[in-house]
Amino acid sequence: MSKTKRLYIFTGKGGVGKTTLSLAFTKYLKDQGLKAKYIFFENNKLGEKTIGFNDVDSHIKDAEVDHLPLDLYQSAKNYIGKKLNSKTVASWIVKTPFFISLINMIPGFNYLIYLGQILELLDEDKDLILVLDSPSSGHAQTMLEATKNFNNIFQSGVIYDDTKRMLNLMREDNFLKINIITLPTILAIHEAKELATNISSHEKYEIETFCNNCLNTFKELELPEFLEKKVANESLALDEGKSHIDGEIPYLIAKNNKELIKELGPSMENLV
Amino acid sequence: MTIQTKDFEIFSGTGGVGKTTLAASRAIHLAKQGKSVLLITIDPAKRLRDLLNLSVESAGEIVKVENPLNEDETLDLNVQLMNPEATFSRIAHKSQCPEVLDNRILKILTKPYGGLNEILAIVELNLQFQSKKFDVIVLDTPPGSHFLDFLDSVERIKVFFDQSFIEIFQYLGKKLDTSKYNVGKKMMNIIMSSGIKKLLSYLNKVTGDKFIDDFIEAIIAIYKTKATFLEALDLQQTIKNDSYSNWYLVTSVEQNKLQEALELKNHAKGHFTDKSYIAINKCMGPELVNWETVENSQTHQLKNSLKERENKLKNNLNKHFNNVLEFPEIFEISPIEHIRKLTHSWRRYGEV
Repeated sequence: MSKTKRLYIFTGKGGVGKTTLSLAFTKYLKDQGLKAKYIFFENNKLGEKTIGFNDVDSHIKDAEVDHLPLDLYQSAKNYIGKKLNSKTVASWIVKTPFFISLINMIPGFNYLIYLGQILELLDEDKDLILVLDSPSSGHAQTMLEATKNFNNIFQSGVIYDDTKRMLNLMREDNFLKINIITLPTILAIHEAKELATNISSHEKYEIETFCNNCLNTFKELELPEFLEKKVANESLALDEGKSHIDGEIPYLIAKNNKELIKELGPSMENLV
Repeated sequence: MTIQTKDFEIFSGTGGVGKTTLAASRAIHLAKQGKSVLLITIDPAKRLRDLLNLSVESAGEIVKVENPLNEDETLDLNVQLMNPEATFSRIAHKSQCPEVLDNRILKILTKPYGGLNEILAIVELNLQFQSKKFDVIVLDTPPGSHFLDFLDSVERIKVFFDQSFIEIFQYLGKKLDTSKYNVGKKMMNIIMSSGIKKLLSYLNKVTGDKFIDDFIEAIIAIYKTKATFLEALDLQQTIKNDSYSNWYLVTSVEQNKLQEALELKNHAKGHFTDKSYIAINKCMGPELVNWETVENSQTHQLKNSLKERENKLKNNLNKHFNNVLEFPEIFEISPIEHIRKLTHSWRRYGEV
């Protein structure tokens, strides 16, 4: 097993199984006796209630993991409060229409504050490991690039120093790992490769790509023609993309989510 | 069930469900009927590029794809890959102030992942609609919650210009036009004397002076292009109207995303109506029914697991949506074959 990192970001196209896998992964780390917590990236906006997909809560319960609820509004308030040494001023600022609409116009700034909060938590508790389940590849990219973008925007001052500190922390050895999840089709694998290339064109973070829901574990069985075709297409896609796929996760026949997360356990070691 | 073609055909979905492929096949299907079609994708992964052999260099421009299925030389399709930089450049030129493109902050924010993607996408859609060059615009929206950002972006533009700008500009008044780019301390002082002076003075504490200058310049730049942004507000009313638009919510058997589909439907109230469609992609139902297996064998378990997955989704969706469309899983490795077969499957919902 490779050395455990401090922050894991699960990303990839929507619907590839990021939530299930990041929960199974958090469970795996927990079972190793580590202090791992799961964060669901809430893409809420300031001044608005959280949208949140309802079924996440029940998934978290099924997985029996610790969940760290992180709210953008609170993150922004905490951050500004610290910078200005005043909670009162901070709560006033985050309520001004100007601030709310400015930050909603520029979602990148949301992500910067959010990521800043995550990094601060990791800095405060050296045993903590966080698993971030991000909503989709576009959001993850905006978040990862936000640090650098705002570093370039500010060029000096307190926020600049903070973004610099954030970048330095994320660049540390064994700190951050990005797990890209994809499906075993040619298009999905291409997209995952494109995503990895995009992210690493900005920063040399550790990135690995995993194919989820692979049917090829069933290829020894006597399958009907259409499924044989499907499995054959899958093998072709996996073979073509093998230089940038770091692991396969099988399609599992499970009765429910709880069972699925349990069955995924053995496959999780590779994702560390 | 037959589908009547509208000015806008909008595809949204939970991501990774083949939404882009389905939108492309719809566009080709309509082009085959002799319509002049523009297909716009604002999907950051630019999946269409793979499908239609488009190059990265053409992003932002409208590209004519001739003979996309390689079977009819008279058939062509207009495709545009959304690119925020290109859209912002169009806005700046339309507002006759190309100099705003030099602003350092706006340059960073209009990069593909700079964060202004959705807002600029709605502006782009409006620009293309106003050009009146096309019979139909097929729009492939970004997946999942990104799509909500897309719908919300209109609201955000409104709030931004209504509240923030009134706050700033009611104090600036006519000084704005005469001061041109004389930002720096003088403009800073004017803004500091306005309603947001407290906020900016706090901001000044945490950022450098250079930022405040660039920031004010960026705000003035956006203000100069305000008209184009505000015009996009009307578009929302148009696309909400079901005599102008068909909305397709795409989901797939391969991903159990029922909850997300319902969330999308709920959140996009006013956009999704009783007349909207839900498309279930990658159905294997007919094949699974014909698959004979021995009770209790592993193949039997696999069959049941796949069948159950599909049926559960179909039953649930039929409960919540009036118009459910089904599209088959296509067992083709070549993207062009794939899209050809999918285009073919639109025929069953063809217009009479």
